[in-house]
Order: sequence, then structure tokens, then C-alpha cells
Amino acid sequence: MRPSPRLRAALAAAVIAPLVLAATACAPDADSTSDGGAAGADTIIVDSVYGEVTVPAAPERVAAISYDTPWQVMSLDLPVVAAIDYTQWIDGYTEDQQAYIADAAKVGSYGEVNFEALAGAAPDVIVGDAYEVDEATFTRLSEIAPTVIVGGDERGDWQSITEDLATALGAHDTWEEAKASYEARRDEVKEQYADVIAANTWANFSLGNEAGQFSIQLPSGSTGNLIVNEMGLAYGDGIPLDTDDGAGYVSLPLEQIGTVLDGVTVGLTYENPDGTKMPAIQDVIDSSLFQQLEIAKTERVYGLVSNVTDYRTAEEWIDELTAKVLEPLSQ
Amino acid sequence: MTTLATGGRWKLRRPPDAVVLPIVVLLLLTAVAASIAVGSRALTFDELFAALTAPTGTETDLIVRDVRLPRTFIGIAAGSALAVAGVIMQTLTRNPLAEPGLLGVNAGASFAVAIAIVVLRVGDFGATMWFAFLGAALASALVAVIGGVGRGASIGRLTLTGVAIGAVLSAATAALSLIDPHAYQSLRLWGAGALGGRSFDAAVLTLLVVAVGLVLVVLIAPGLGLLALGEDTARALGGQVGAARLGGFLAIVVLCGAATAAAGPIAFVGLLVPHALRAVFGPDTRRLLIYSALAGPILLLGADVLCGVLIAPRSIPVGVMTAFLGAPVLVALVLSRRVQAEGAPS
Repeated sequence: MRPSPRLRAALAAAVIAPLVLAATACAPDADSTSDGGAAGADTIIVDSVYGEVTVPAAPERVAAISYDTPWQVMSLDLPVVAAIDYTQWIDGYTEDQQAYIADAAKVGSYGEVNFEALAGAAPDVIVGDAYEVDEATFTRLSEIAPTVIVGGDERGDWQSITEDLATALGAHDTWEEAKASYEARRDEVKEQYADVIAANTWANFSLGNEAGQFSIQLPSGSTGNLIVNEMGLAYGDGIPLDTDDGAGYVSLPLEQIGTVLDGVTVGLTYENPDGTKMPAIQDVIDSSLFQQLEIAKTERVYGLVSNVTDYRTAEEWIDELTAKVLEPLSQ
Repeated sequence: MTTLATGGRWKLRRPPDAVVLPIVVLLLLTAVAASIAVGSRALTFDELFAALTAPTGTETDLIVRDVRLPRTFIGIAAGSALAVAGVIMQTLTRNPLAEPGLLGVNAGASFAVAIAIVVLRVGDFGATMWFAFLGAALASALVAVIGGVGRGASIGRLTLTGVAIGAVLSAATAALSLIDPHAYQSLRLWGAGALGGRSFDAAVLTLLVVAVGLVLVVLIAPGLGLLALGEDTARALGGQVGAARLGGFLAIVVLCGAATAAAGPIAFVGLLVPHALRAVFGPDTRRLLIYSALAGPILLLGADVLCGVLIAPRSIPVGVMTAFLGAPVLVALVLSRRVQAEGAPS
């Protein structure tokens, strides 16, 4: 089973520390492209979280070593020669995703890069996420191949993260296409289901950090960003819109559930590809406090499988939202 | 605790039960009341009273009856169980650092929960409770068989066996959780140590099991008192050393198994409470057992209340808070004992 964004956020919090890196991250600058000098004609210079990096203008052997990065590279129509070991989560991925990483070298587990295996994959560029790669790791990675670490403005800023990757990997055109396709679909759905969107207040909840808690995705989280900023779905009045810890979600005691979800008319959560929900999420739903909510009484709690990492998966999420939620609600 | 100067030396005067017992009971009642009254949602006295006496299914009723009461019950049961088990462990092993982790109890419970989640795909908390209890019992029994019987049996051997088996089981649990992220997630929630998220029925069941364990402790308390003097002395005084050790061991399994199954591995309660009480009451095992049963819940419920209010509406796992509270107190106790040993007034 693929870990939920919540789990990955928790894992990331445990493995990497400096969320402040996001604040210092800056997008690779297309204007900084070099056509010569010390870097040579077939290289470009891009800005990344840890400074300027000279990378091949058209890389052929990309290693994607953070959890979401292979899928973000996949959205750019580029192959990867190395990624972390996804064996334990593989059932949670689509057939296309499984095929995409089938031949990639396994170069460690989540948050722990196997440098020797990575060197053995002979990448000509390494890409990763600042939430999982600290500066010391970046330095070691740079000894293997030019390394670009992206961060975006916050954990859920997949727009900036994928744009930075696209710039670094010379795939900006593909990124533009994916973005245009996504935006067209987004706008189409927003227009088609404007009434449903406007008539409801929304929440995206999941399991909490400990037993007896639940979590709410913030607009700074990947799905929260999509819900609030992109789709314009209005969160309920009781839902916190941001915290200062950068995790993209907030975990709260169960007795807050009435306060936080008061007035919410549609609840979104995560579910497995087989339609089941993680036990800790099911525990939240089964609790008496949740069951007295309007969304439980009206059976307006929907599980979505899609995990948002880039424009393409965001578009898939919108498609799933449309089929499972917006269309039924519009009847 | 007070001291008297006698002939230039300071001698401890133990406070009488008639004075201390009512105070401790009052503190326990206060902790229980605070546990029910204080939470991330502010409730009025009328709401609390109505929820406890005439619930009608309102949200506040549900908060009190389905969230706070189970938390409080688990806190009472786990606090008593861990503290009393700590006294028994320290008495049996004559090791001042003995606590529920020492005999493989926590590791056994964690491993069994991991097996339940990874292999058997058990997700229900009530079911994992039983696995945790079984794991604690089996691990403790294994430690007893390997380290506590046969030729060469000794407290040191028992302790080393407990540490070794605990380490092996912990490693196996870590391996299982790494194999399966689903298990990692569930074990992460369980392993943080928390009083919340348990059903009313699970809380009542935990209370009942701990009550059975405490009854067993009452039965073996005289034997434990003799054992505290040392095995040779206990035998010389006619004590049934074997029976006391077996009874003590069973009590540890029941108490720690129930507490760990219900609340996850919670550190420091079983270590801190006996030491703190020993500083007040001295080495009297009977008093230590009684006051540990009362003081354990005070510490655990107090820590849980603090967890809920310090960064409200979010909270800190109670296992983290007990460590935060326990470590400095333990260090203070160690330092004060050194001062006493050097002859300074306490």
C-alpha cells in the first residue's frame, strides 16, 4: 500500500529537519541558462535550494531520489534510471507508474539514499526534494553527479517544484503542456460544477499523529493546495488555514472534530485502491463524535485514491473528484 | 518529608499514613477530575455534570463519555499498573533501574502487535490489545524460562536475559514495520504511548485486568516485603521465596501487559514513581505498593492533562511528556541522594 500523504509527511518530518529550507529555496532560473563558459555548450546552470548547479542541458540518465520525485519526473515524460525502493508500496501505484520504475535501479529506501547503488546507476543528473535531502546529503550526492534539489514555497507547492524540475531537466515545454492541460480541465470542472462547489463547504481529513487524533489537510499541503487554491473549494469555517510548522497538515484531538468540521457539508479523505480505508482513518470515521457530524449523517464522506504530486496527478485527482463526488452531488 | 537533627546527623522522619494517605487520595481525585474536565474543548461545569449524570447524546456528552472517560480510565489503570509493576520489578531484581521494559514486556507487546498488523492484518484496536497482552506475557515467560530457572539462575541472569530478548524483539518489530508501511503507521500510532483513542469498553476491560493484577499483588505483598530484604534473609525468616517470585512475576505480566496493551509503551512511570515514593517513605515494600497504585495515576493523568493544554488544541504524546517530567525528577532524586550520602541535610 502506498503511504498516504499524511504518512509521508510524518516520515518526512522524522527523517529531515530543515523546513526552513523551503523558505530559502529559489526556482531554477531559465534566464541563468549558460551556453558556454566553464560549463560548456551542452550544459546549463540552474539555481536550486543549495545554490547554482551546472547540469546537462539534455540529461539522459536521471536519478530521482525523493519520494514524489520519480512521479514528478514521469509527468515530464522523462525516464528515470534510479529511484528509491517502492516495492513495499507498489500495489498502491497505477500500472503506468509501476512500469515507469520497473527497470530503475533501487538506490535506497525512503529518506535513506544508498550512495553506492546510486553511483552504480551512473546518473548524469540527480534530482530530489529539499524536504528529504539536507545539505550534507546534497554534498555527497553532488560527488556522484550534478544534483538539483528543489523545494518550492512549501510542502504542497507542487506547481513550483515541478517547474523547477522541468527547468533543471530541460523539459519545460512538457511541463507547460501538462500545466495547460490541467488548467483547462480544472477550469472546465469548476465551471461545470460551479453550483455544487459553491453550495458546499469542504474538508480533507485523515488520520492523526497519535491514536485519538485526526488531521486536516491545510492549503499548504499538496491536496489542500489543490482543493482550496486551485479548485476554489471553500473550507469550513472551523478549519485552520495554516500553521507555522510547514507540514501541510495539522493533527488535532478527536474532541475538536465537531468544532473543526462544523458546517462542513462534504468530507474528503484518502482510501486505498481497493476501496478500503486505512484503519486509523476508519477509526476516526467510526468514532461517535464523527458520526454526529452532518457529513456522516448525510453520508457525504468520500475517499479518493489519487495522490497529488504534479499537474498530471492533480488532473487525475480532479477527474476522480468529478466522478466520485461532484457528479453525484449534482444529481 | 521532614528531617531531625540527632547528634549532629540528620535522620529521616517518615510521614504517617494518616497524614499522607488522605493527601494522596485527594491528589488522585483532583487528577481524575482534571482529566475529565480539561481538554481541547472547553466545557462548562453544567455540561460536564449533565454528560456524567444524564447524557442525551449531545456533542459534549460524547466528548465526555466517549473521549475523556476512557482516557481517564486508561490513565488510572495504566498508571497504577506501571508504578506497582515497577516496585515489584525493582524488588524482584534488586535493580534500581528495573522498569517494565526490563523483562521484555514492552518489546514483547510491540512485537505481538506488529505480528497482528503485518501478518494477520488485524486493524481493530480491541484485537491488538489482546495481542499486546499475549506478547507481553509470552516474552516475560520466555525471559523467565531462559533466565530465571535451572542451574545458575540469578537475578543478574534474569535481567540480562530480559534485556537481550527485549533487544531482539525490538529489532524484529522494527524490521516488520520497515517491511510494511501499513504496519509502520499503525505501530507508530500505538508506539507513541497515548491514553486516547480507546473505546469505553476497552478502557473498562483494562481497568478490570489491572484490578485482577492488583489483587494478586495484595496476596503476594508479604512475600515481596521479605524478598526486599534479600533472598537469604527472606528464607531465614520463613518466607516462600519461590512463591513470591512466581507471584511477583505473574503480577508483572498481568499489570504491564494490560497497561502496555492499552496505552502503548509509556516510559518512566514504572521507574520514577517507586523511586520518588521511596525517597518519601523509605524501603517499606507494602507502603510503596499502596502509594504506587495511587501515585502512578496521578503522574500519568497529570502528564496527559499537560499534554492537552500546553500546545492546545494540538497535543503531545503522553509517553513523551512522562519522559520530560520523569527524567529531571529522577536526576533530582539521584542528586539529593548523593547529598544525603555526603551527610548534608535533605
